[in-house]
Amino acid sequence: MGEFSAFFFAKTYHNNLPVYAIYNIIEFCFICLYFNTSIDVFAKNNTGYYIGGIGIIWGIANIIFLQGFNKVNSYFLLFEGLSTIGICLFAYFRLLFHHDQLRLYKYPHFWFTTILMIFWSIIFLNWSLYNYVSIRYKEASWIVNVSILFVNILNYLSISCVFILYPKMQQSDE
Amino acid sequence: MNDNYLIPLLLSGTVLIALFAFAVVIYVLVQKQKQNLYHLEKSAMIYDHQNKMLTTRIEEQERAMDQVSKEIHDNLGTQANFAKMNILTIAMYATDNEQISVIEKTKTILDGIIKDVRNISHSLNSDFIKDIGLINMLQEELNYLNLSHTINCNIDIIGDDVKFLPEKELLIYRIAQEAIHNVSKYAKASNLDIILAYEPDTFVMTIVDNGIGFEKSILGELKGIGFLNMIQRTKLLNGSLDIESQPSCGCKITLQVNNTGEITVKDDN
Repeated sequence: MGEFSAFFFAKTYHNNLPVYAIYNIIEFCFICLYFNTSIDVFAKNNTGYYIGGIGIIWGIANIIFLQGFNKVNSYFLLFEGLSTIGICLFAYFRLLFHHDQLRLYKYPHFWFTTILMIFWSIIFLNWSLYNYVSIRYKEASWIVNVSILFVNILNYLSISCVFILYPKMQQSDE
Repeated sequence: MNDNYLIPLLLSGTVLIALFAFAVVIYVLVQKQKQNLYHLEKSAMIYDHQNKMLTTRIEEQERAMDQVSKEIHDNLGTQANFAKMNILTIAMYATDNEQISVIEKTKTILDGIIKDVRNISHSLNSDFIKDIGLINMLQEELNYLNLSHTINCNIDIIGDDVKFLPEKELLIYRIAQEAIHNVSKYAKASNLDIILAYEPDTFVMTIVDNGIGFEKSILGELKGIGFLNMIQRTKLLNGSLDIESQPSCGCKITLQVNNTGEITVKDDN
């Protein structure tokens, strides 16, 4: 939906940055909600809601006071990337902390966490330095654009694969 | 910062962070694999230890029963036989009809005692059970129970008789013995059926009675160790034990044991 809205805004208003500014906040909220259910400690203390709440405040503050709708919200993306990678690392820690016989390669939450972490690790610097590169080094900005496109496609494909294999994984885990 | 270095820096930074992410993922996978292996080994060790403890306990029980069996046979049995010989000697000198009648009654009682002692001794002696075999021993146990005329016992054999290892047969017999003992003591049943089904890969022993039955939930509350012994022996057989019962609906105990690799004894008759 985010991508379609962005396409529509780009065609109609020649600026889809507002869509991405809002979309990124919503995306971060969804990520936090997901981890709030998949990580036991988060579920117990509702940590996901708190991080999501901080994300919303920071995202809105960034739009109003810092970067607005005419720039890529790189400050928020920096925060989102760092938070997501941090939460992923914590999710791994909890997976290892549990002393149950869990076969990770058949555990959907491991794959979701892995996809999110790899996606944000690759895209982290691209988003964070997007404004800087696009202004100071216009000729090479296509590299950043292509890499973002490529990593996004890979990310969505991977998530789809996990969803397709989800019933099989659950059966194998019984 | 020199702009010429920006893109290479960006790329190398991205590659480094991505490599770090991959390293973390691989580390988590390997570490979890190690953890699983450790837990598997630990579970195997615990299982092994429990099995050894169980085997030792049951062996100890068998040894105690053997000892009791020998004592009964050598002491009680011998003394009862001596008493019978003495009675026979007295009978030779008895002239009075009343005396002869009393001696005859005493002899009958002694015969009963000798038979009972023999039966009890046999049912406790593991070597005897191993020698005589499961079916014969169960038949003997049921014949002994039939003598009481309070319960009608039957045994049915389905399929070709499979000869288990003597130790295995002893365990199966002890489970059946415990079940039969429970039926005679608590069930107030008028009928007891034992079905031994020798299927291609499994042996199924079903013991059914038409007694007063019980709530299955009270199994855990029972203070006796009878059911516990049955369950532990089933564990040693690597089998499964199912107990079905309801108040006033009797009880059905099903033992299922894998008989793959056992020797088949076909009845030629």
